[in-house]
Amino acid sequence: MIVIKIGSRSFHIYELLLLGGCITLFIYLVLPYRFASHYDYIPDDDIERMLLPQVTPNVTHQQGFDCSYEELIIGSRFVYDAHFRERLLHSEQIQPGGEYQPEHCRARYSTAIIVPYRQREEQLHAFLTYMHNYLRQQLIHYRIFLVEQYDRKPFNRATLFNIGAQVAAEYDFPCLILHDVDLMPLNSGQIYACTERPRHMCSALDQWRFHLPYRGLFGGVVAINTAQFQMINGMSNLYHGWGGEDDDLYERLSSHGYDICRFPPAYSEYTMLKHKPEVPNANRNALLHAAALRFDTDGLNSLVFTEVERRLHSLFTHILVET
Amino acid sequence: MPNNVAATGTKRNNVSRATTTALCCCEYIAHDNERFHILGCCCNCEDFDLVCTRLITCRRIEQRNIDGMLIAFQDRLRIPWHGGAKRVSPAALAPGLIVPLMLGLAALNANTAMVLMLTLVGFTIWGLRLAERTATRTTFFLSWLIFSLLYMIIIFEFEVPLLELLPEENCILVLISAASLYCFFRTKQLAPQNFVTAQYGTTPRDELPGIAEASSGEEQAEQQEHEAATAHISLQMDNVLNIDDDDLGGAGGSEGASLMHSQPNICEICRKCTPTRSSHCAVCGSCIKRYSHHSFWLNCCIGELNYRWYLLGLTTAELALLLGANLTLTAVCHPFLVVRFLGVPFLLPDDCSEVFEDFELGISFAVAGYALLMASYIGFDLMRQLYAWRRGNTLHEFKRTTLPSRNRLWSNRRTFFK
Repeated sequence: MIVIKIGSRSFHIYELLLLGGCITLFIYLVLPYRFASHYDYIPDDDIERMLLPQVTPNVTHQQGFDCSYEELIIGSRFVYDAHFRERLLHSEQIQPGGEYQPEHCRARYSTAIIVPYRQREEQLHAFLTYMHNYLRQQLIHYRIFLVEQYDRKPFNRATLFNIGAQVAAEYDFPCLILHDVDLMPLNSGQIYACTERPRHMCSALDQWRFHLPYRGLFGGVVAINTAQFQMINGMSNLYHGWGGEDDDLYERLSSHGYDICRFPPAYSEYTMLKHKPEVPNANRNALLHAAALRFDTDGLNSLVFTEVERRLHSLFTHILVET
Repeated sequence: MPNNVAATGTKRNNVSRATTTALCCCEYIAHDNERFHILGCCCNCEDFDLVCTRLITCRRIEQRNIDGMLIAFQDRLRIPWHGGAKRVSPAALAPGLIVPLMLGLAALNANTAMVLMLTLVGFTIWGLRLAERTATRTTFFLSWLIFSLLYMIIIFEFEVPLLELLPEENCILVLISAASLYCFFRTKQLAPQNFVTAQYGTTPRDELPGIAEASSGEEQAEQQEHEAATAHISLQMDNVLNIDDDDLGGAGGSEGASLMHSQPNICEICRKCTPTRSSHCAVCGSCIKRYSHHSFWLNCCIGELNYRWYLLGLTTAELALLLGANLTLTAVCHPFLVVRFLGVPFLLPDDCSEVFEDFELGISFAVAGYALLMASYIGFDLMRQLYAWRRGNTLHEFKRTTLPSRNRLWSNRRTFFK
C-alpha cells in the first residue's frame, strides 16, 4: 500500500492518480489552442477613416461631388436576400468588362476584383449576379477580372492572382481584391476598398460558424494595395492544387513588415457556396516550410504564362490563360 | 508470482493468505475461496476443460459442469481495482459494445440512422418496462448511460471540427457537463441515506403485535417470521375488505392501511414503522423516505435527500446535451445566423445534406442526433418532475393521485373488452 501524506490528511496513491488524471483531462479539455481564435479588428467608427481614398485616372477627371459612404458603413445590414441573389437589377448600368462607377456622384475608391476560375459555371452565375447587385449599392468604382486557367494542370490559384494583378495594374487600379468565386458577402457595410494595411475580409465565414480558425488565416477574400502586392513580389507560383498559397502570402506580408487588419465580425460575414472539396496539394507543407527562401525569386518576377484570350463580357473581363 | 504460489499451496494456506495479506489491484478471491490473479483468467478451469473434452469426444455433458463453467466465466470477468479486482456483470459490459456499434452504423447513412434511433427508442421503453415489472436491480441502464457519455465526449473531442468553435463555448459546455455529472454523482451518493433505517420511530406493539420492532436485527426478524406472516395476511385482508383497491398495487397497500387506521405508516414488506410519505421500493428492497421513484438509469432511488440533486442534474444535463448538439450540428452542417447577441453569433443548422459523405462528419451528426434524443427524453422526465414538484408532490404521489382516474379506461382495457 502506498499512502502519501499531505498536511494532516493521507491519500492513497490511486486516489491521487485519479485526481491528477481528472485535473489533467479538465485542463486539456478547456485549452484554447484547439479552438477558433478571437481577433483584433478596426472598430465600427474608424472604418471610414481607415479606407484609402484612391481612384483610377478616368474617375479623377470626372466632375461632380464625392460620394458619401458614412451611411453605408453605419447602416450596415444583411443584404444576402432573394431580391439581390435571383436577378441582375438594372443591368444597363454595367459597362462592358464588368465595370461600374456611380453616375450621380464621384466614387472615392477604385477596386479591381480578381477572381480565379475554372469549371464552376453555376457558382460563377450566382457570383456575378449577386456581386454586381451588391457592389453597385456601395457606390464604388470597380471592375471584375475573371482569370480562367485554360490548361489541364492542377488549379494554380496564386498564379492566376498574379496574372490578374498584372492585368489590373495595366488598367491603373490602385487596389486589388483577391476573391474566391464561391464566397459572397452578407453585410452591406463591408466596403470593397483597400485599407492602409492588407485586409482579410471574410473573417466570419458561415461554413466555420462565423468564427476565425486561426489568426494567420489570410485567404478567401483579401484586399491589398497594388503597390504592396508588387512590393512583396506577388504570390508564389509553385502551389499547384488546393491549399498553402494563402499562408505563403501571409508569410510574405509579415516578412515585409506588413501587419494585416480585419473589420468587425458583424461586417465580415460571408457565405460559402457548396462545392466538392478540391484535391489538396500534398506538397504544400514542404513548400510552405521553405517559403522564406523564395520570396525574391518566386512571384510576379518569375511569372510565365500565355494569354490565350482577353474579352470584355457584359459582366466581367475574361482573361483566359495557360500557365 | 503470487498466484502461482496460491495455486500450488494447500487450500488452507490460501485462505489464510487471503485474509492476512492485502490483495493487489489485479487479484481477487474467487468463488471457491481461492486467491486468483486476473491474468490467470484462462487457466485452471476444470469444468471448462471437461466440457470441451466431452464435446470433442462426443460424450454426454453433465449440467453440473456447464453450470460450473458459466459460474467460473462470470466470476473471472473482472476489472483491476484498488483493493482487489472487481467483478463486473455482463449486463454492465454489453453497452460498451452496443453503443459504439450503434453510433458507427448510424454514421453510415440517413436511413440506417433513422431505423437505429427508432429501434433504440423502442428497445429502451421495452427494457424499462421489463425492469419495472420484474423489479430487477440491474446495472445495465447505468452502464448504458456512462458509455453513451464516454463515447459522446470522445466523438466531440476527436471528430467534431473544433477549430470552428470558440474556446468559451467549449468551456461552458465542459462546465455544465461537469456540474451535471457532479449532481448525478451526489444523487447516487446520497441514495443509501434515503433508506428508512431501523432506528426510525417505535412500533405500537400492543395494537399490531405481529410486527417486529423497528430496531430489531435480522435474526430477531427471522424468529418472528411466522407471526409477521400472519400479521401481513391480516393487514392485506383489511385492505381487501375496506378499500376499493382498483389501482393501488402492493406498494400502495401500506399507505392505504395507515390512512384507514390513522396509525403510523407500516411497511408490511420491511415490517417496520416508516415516516409519512415514505414508500417501499421493490427494486432496492427497502423503504425510501419521501419516495419519488426508482431511477433505473442511475440504479438508485430518488427520495428525500437526493431529489434536489436529481432535479438539478436533470436540468444541467438537458442544457449540456442541447448545447453540445447545437455546437456539433452547426459545426458539421451548414449553419445560419439567427441573431448576433453581444457579438456572439447564435446559430442553428440549416442544411445537413452532406454529412453522410464523410465518416467523421457522419458520426458527429449521429452523436448529435443521439444527444437530441436523450435531451428529449430527459426534457420529458424533467417536465413531469417539475410539475409534480410545483404541486408539492413526489412523482410517486403524483402518479398515484392522477393516473388511475385519468387512465381508467386504458388501465382497465382488458376487463372492458372481455
